[in-house]
Amino acid sequence: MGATLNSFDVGPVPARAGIGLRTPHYREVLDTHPDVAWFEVHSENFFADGGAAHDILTAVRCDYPLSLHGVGLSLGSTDPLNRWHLDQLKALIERYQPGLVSEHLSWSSVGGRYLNDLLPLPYTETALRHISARIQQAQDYLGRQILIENLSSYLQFTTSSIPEWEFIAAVAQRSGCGILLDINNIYVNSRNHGFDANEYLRAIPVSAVKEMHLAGHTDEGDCLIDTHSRPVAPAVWTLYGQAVRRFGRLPTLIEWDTDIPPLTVLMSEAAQAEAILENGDARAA
Amino acid sequence: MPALRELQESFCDALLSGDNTALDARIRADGLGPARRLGIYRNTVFSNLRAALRDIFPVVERVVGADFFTYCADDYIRRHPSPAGDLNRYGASFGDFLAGFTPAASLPYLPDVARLEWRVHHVYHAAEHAALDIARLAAIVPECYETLRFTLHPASTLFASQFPVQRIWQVNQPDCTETPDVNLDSGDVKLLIERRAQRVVIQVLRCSDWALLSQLANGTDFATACVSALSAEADYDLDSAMQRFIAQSTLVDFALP
Repeated sequence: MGATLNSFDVGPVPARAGIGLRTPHYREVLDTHPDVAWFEVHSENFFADGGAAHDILTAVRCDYPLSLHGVGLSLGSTDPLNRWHLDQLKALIERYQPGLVSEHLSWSSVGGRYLNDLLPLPYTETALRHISARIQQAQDYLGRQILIENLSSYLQFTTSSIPEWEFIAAVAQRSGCGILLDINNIYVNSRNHGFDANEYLRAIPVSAVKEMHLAGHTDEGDCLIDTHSRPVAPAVWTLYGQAVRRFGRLPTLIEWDTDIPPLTVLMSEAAQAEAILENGDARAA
Repeated sequence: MPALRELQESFCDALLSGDNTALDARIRADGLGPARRLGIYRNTVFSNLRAALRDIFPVVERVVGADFFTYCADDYIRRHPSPAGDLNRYGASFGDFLAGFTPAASLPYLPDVARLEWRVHHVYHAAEHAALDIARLAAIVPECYETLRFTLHPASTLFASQFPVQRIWQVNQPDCTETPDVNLDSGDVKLLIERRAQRVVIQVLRCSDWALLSQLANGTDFATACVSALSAEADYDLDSAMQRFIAQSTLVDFALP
């Protein structure tokens, strides 16, 4: 279908805890209309021209605020920006009028080969200039601000000369993008790369942050892996409380992508995040 | 930027090939070796791409088993990397790849099973289209019928195989209750794959229907398509065939030259 301009009665994404909507819960959400503040979906899952996915997203969008979260734009790639991908995203934005649109501080393709994973950049002045310019291009093309999410990562390049927190703060400042702060990713990286997660939070400009993410990770002994397959860890709830105190009440998402549990489990994680948003205090968890 | 590009090329090469040599010195050791660090990424990349292929080719997986599927998929991923940031677009050439994949040579029907599944996947996600405007067709003067060119629904596609792939597909559906017997020597099949009420339906076509639709799908004029259908079946009932294909929205539009 072409990009038809829709208007929805349900407004922007509220400063409450939402849930990442995944395939196993489509039917239940449509049938039972659960009390969820807002939903986020992966943009690419709705790039199809037609079919059932759009029936579902249309029904969801009529009843809930929506955020589109992209995983495949490959903003950090040295290939030209993928025009087809941008066109699909633009059509999706026009069709569903999401409250928030986000992508990642990463690359996933080079020479037309996609690895379909969120890969880290070396944190250098060159990479900073490159990805900031690309985010600006994407925002100009889409006609709106996008939010950029910090990654979980398992390696650092020897050429990196800028701490990750300074890098993402500079990207926001140079490109005009907002920041989607993934609290679990900060925690995972602080453990994997040995830095102080609070120093990270303190380096991020308060006004740039527009959304937060929470998810579970897996401790493999030598390394934490951002598996999105478990409940949010206690240490991440604590860090989230600190983030809420610094950045204030912001839309916060519970993400769960592997071994997806019943919707009620996600709703109870969301309720825990709501309690912290209310109190601005990690002890509420 | 050349340095950044070269780093990305090396990273992509290393992940796909399994050879980390070019990257080792560029990754901080910090307790964990580069092999372990790159291994985490390689594992994620391969498991994501494999999962995408499993979603699109469940029948191929059921036919060959999970382990052999992983073996095929990993070779495919290395030789034909994903071309898009949307995983729904990965796997278009999997059937052709399987046709040249020696370890699967004992299953000559496997490539066509994969090609059928790719079409099923495509049809499931294809664009919507309104039904053919009957009033507009009724207004065409009969002298012009021969020159009409019809359009198939974006979610209707044709596929022919020398193997009974629709039967293989059917008995390998999770909700299939039939005995899974397949006669591989039952002859070639000509199929129409369509979406109805958001479900994909595979119909076996008779030769005349196939001749008509495949000509129309290629943009041939109606007269030529009719000749082709009638040569496949001398007493073919064209009127009722056209009514059927319009009623079920296989044909959704037409144009005068």
